[in-house]
Amino acid sequence: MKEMSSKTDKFHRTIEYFPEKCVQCGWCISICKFSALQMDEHDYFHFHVENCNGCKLCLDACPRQALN
Amino acid sequence: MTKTYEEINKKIKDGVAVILTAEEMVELVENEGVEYAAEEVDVVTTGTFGCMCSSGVFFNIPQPDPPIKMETVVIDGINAYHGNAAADFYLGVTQTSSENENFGGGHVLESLLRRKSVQIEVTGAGTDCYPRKSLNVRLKLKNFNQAIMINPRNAYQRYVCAVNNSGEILYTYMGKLLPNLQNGAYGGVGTMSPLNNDPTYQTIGLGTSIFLGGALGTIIGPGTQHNPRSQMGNIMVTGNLKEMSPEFIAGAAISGYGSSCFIGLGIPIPIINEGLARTCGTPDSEIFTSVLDYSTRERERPLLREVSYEELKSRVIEIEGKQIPVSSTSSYAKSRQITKILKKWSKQGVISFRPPVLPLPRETEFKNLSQEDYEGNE
Repeated sequence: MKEMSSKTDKFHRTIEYFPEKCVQCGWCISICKFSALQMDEHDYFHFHVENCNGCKLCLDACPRQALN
Repeated sequence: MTKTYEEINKKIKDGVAVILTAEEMVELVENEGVEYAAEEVDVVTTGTFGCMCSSGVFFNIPQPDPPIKMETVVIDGINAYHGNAAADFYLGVTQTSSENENFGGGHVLESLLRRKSVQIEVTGAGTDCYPRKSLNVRLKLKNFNQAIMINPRNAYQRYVCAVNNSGEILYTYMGKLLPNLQNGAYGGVGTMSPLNNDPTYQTIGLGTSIFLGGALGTIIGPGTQHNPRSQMGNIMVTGNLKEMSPEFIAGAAISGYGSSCFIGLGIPIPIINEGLARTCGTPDSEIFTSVLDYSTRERERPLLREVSYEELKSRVIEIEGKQIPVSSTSSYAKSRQITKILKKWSKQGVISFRPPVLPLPRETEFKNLSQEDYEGNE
């Protein structure tokens, strides 16, 4: 696990990331239109809270409930 | 150039075997060519980590006194199959809780691997030989006599890329598909995918030792729906849950579909000839799969195009002039980790290489239900 965040976005909506649940699968990556969810060159997941628009499209895309 | 299994085992024993991960093999073949790689390399290790719905575990619970013949079995709220002998039951990973759609058989397996206890509620027939009519106990994994994973269908040779060309969000076993081709989800890990590295099953079949869930497992034979003619071969596998790790067995809940389980699986492939060096050295740019539109209700989904894993790994593919972000449903990071663990095991002699007792069939017929079947044949 390379990075974890639990922050509030600019619209004060909170998305929490639970790294202990994440299995680096990437199911959420193509859902995000704002590049908040990305894989690095080693295929590890990163949550870039500064890019998050709070749209919440990703929440039910995660099969591990690692985004909440 | 050919090598025997005995020669490879001896080189491993002597500490001089050359063992590469699938990704390393691709690099070697690209730089030095197939002939050189065939001569130099003894074993190539593969790996994949993805949701494999056709998976589960046979449990045997210690008989209480008086003993019980199970009629119904519920484990942490999940129904188990009990049509076997008195104290045996099978827990499938897609069996979902009726009270919590985000919890299923795969989560129970993960709980047990995390050394948590699970609630077992049993009703019994109450026969003369098995008088007890109910049992309600909490057990940990160590309390079961056996916990044998038997997965009827794992590790598809390749899988498709799913997209949605309709106007509404689709919730599928490939995940959430946004409308109007806004995203895509694909299965498999290209160069690392186990069966893709030996697509004619020269070294893979009954008795082949594999990595399964963090433990040493075995291939039993072809999996259900094994379909080699369409490059959709797969394997039936077994392993001891008690030796596995929650790092490689992880429950999953797919929104709008149900529960499943991430399974880590890898196969070490002995390079016994040049053909295997070639297939194990095939780059992502030469491994193709189909992009299918999942918005149809028909069984045959429309093919939109063929796409290479190189393009899929770039995370953007083009369809009808539109750039579509795609992501894998398998973890590349964990798949890579499995190839590295298998490399270590192979070097340490944990795995003994031998020809399969029975290779996977290459010509299995695969059928769908036809109109003729509906009408019934006498």
